[in-house]
Amino acid sequence: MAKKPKIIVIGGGLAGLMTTIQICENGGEVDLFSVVPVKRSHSVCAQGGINAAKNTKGEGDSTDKHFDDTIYGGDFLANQELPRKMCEAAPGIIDLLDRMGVMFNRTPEGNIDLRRFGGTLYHRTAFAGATTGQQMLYALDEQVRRFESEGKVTKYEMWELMSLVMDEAKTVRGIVALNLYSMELQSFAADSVVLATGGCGLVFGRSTNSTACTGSAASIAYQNGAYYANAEFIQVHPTAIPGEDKNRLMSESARGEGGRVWTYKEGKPWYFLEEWYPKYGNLVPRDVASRAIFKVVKELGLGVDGKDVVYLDLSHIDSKTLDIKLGGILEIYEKFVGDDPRKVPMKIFPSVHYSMGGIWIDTNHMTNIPGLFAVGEVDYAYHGGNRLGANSLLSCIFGGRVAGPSSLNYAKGLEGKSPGSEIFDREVKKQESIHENLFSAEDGENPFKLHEELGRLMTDNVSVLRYNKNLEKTDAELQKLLERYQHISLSDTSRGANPVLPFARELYNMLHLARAITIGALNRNESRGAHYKPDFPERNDKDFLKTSKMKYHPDRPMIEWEDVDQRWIKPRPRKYD
Amino acid sequence: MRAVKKWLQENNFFIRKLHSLSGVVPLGAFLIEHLITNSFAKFGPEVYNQKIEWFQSLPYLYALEYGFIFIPILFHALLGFVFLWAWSDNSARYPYGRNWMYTLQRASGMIVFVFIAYHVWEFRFETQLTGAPVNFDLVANSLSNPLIFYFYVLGITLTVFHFANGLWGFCVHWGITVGPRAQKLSGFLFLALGLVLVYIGLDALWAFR
Amino acid sequence: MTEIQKTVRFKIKRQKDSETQPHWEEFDIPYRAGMNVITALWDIAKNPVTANGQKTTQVAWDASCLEEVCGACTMVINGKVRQSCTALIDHLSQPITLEPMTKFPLVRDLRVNRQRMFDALKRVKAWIPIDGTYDLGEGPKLSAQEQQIGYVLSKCMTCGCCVEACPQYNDRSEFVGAAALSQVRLFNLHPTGKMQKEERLETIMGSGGIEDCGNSQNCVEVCPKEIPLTTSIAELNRQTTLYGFKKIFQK
Repeated sequence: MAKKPKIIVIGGGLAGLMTTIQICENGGEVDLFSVVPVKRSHSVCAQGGINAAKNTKGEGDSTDKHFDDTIYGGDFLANQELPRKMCEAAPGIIDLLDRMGVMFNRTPEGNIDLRRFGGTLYHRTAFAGATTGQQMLYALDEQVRRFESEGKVTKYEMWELMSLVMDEAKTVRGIVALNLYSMELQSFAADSVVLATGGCGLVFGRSTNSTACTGSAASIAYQNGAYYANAEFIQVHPTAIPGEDKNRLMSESARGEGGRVWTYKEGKPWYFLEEWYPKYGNLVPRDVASRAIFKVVKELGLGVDGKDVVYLDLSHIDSKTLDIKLGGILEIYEKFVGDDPRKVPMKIFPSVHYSMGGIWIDTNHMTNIPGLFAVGEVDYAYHGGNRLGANSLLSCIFGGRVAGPSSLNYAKGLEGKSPGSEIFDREVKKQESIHENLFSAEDGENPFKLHEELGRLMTDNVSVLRYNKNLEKTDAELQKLLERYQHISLSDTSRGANPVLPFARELYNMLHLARAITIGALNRNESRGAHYKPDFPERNDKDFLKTSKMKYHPDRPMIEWEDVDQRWIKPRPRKYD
Repeated sequence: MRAVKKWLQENNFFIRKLHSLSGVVPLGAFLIEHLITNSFAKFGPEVYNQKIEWFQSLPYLYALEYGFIFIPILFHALLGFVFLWAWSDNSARYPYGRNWMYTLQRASGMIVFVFIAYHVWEFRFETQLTGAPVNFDLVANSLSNPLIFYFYVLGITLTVFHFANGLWGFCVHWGITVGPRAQKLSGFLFLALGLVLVYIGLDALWAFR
Repeated sequence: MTEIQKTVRFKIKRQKDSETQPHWEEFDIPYRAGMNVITALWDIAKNPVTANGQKTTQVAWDASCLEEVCGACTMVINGKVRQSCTALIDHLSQPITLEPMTKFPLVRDLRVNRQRMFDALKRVKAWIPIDGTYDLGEGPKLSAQEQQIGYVLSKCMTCGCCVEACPQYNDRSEFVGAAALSQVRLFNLHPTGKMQKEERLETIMGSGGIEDCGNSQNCVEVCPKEIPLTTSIAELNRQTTLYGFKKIFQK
């Protein structure tokens, strides 16, 4: 019998685990790499739920309407084939997760309950309290553990991707990874490689993302020639608790369950979302809500107590209902702020949350590099210019169902003999020399301080409001930071579990990704979805109904434009009032 | 040694269950009986001596003694010592009520073992060797030494504690009390039982003075 | 006018690896309102200088979500095990001591390797053995009450607080610990998971299983997610007892 195809999956969040399950189920073997034990992946932070048009509330919801909301919510930027298939598969995905044991909230009859979320008028979101992502991740983690105990999966937890190993034909043949406990560099061969490494919130310093969400792996693929698409589309979530170490998400489900956003105007509560958008009210999509809050706080100067916050109010809702449906997030607010959101309104402000953009993939989830696949937040394919709440968990699972089989098929179809050890050795040596250089530098700048500057720069200039002048300045600053990066040194040069070295490597990759995001934003002279330029306030379909594809170049990222597949839904004006 | 370990590991479930059961039946049952019998000392030496004689006249005395008392005690105690192997005390760092009880259960077990060994030697085996009669005077004589007397006060109290707290643990261990409410209620119940038994035990002890 | 900046004093146990002797280092961190232990550790990363002005290395610690849902940043703070993200400075007495968990192999400083906990999950078969991911229709119905019980159990993030505080869990014992046991209860109450109930009970009736629980109940006291771990263990005691009788009397 022929050797089983071996596939490397990098990232153990929802997308990576679903891909792994699909590969194992179809007869492949997986080496699963993760910078944290997979059960601690960032997917745990997803709170509100997962969308599926199960239409169990007699509202006449359908997968077509889900598809339309998704495309409309994404301001028509998404290529339509994958989102369409995703929405069609969604009800079946909920059933699958339910069979795996996800503790979805129930109706009195014992069916899966659904709630409302932003950007739709239907009850379409299945949820497990307010920790749906955590519950789903655990269910997949359990299934993967089962495959692990059967010997089909080998986990490499606390290993970080350092580079891809490519052969002469520019095909991916494996990776070089760093053991975060021993600083040992090792190469791993595989028939195909799947990136499921999530978002890049850390590029903005503080975001709602976990500390592992540096975008480093995506940047490595990008620097190896993978297109990075729609980089400029960064979702800013309207409701987060601002914090010193991170901004903690207050789920959209808070508004889905009746939460209201307000501030004081002339001494009286002003429910500005309800006033401005009577049809959707507090449940307008995230880009719209974030801009509204920005307008209220920054333009009108009406933040609560003159600070950069507004209220998100649940105090009018019965506290027992709140505990059952939103317990997890109320707990977060209580623990980190100290107030009880059942009694007093929460203070929130928008925060960078999600990257709609990511590695370019085809409809089989393969990147433009043969043998390299991408899935989950790291791909660009599902959410267009703005992601609807509760669609991200869905895109992770659905993406895994595509990426798993197609990476396996690619592996099976791989012809010719396997590459010699030279290309692996060469790549390991290259990485070793980078590390040696970092270790030998002395009295340079501190990479954590540099990262702080990067975060401030990006948050100030490339988040909700974007001006070309500032974007140009930002790119110049980024180049300066890259220059300064050449003179960093590590506070720790030991070869044990050194925490500085991997961060320094990530920082370099973050800087290049930051440039891609900035240049993307600079080039898109329109306003679409999360990308908003006050100087170009309208959507411009003629020039910019296009996917931006960033190609790495050491001097300056090069941008290419690709037409959007609009087979099913033609663009129409996007309005929620 | 290795064989013992293997046997313990392979039969872990039943051995542990038997360990906890042996503390209740026969040992706990015997403890209650023993404390009550001793209380006859309150009615004076004659009544007490009569009861002792009655016990000593039981048929199959040796079988009863060994089968229901000595062997279960040794089984319960020796296994208890084996289980102590995995004990890493942290009641100072995590000073919760139940953690103290956990620690006291083990500490009391060790002291009680010494106490019972002394007690059984003195009144059962030493007398057998020397042929001294087991009666009220023998006990009173021994307890006239205040050191021994207070050793008995401590020994009886800890034995009862070990039993009452052990009963609480038994109920959890066998899945009788599951939820926090049931475990709290049973805690009060066994506290009351323990207090009654300590009273009975010490009251009898003072009767020998 | 010069304002004297308020600082926070930290005492951190440093250890290069499991072989070297630990030593303590002290740090003064500028105080900000609402800051937590993580913020302070990041300050040290940006400026690794001790309280007496000595240059040192960045402290190694684990972190991921910073919202107490991933379990990564667990450590012993002022003597008690907890997550460092929810450890707000305002609620801690100073100097704030940070130590690694003691029940796991030390990697470095505040970092430990909790693989034993994940291995325990493997041992107890903490999963529902589904037939496959293909479309097999809807899952089983579940009452809202059962969901509420299951959901609470399912929030366990394998952080290790319960076993860190457990006097029965150490390198002399093979005890799987409260977290894994509670997962057995979770899967044994799920309508599908129930079908493998006895198989799962078998995994915890051997050495290192449920019988190694000493009933100190520290687990339930320290669990950050307030999971009723002792109820889970007692419930499993009931299940294994009944199953034990069944094994004796039905064979």
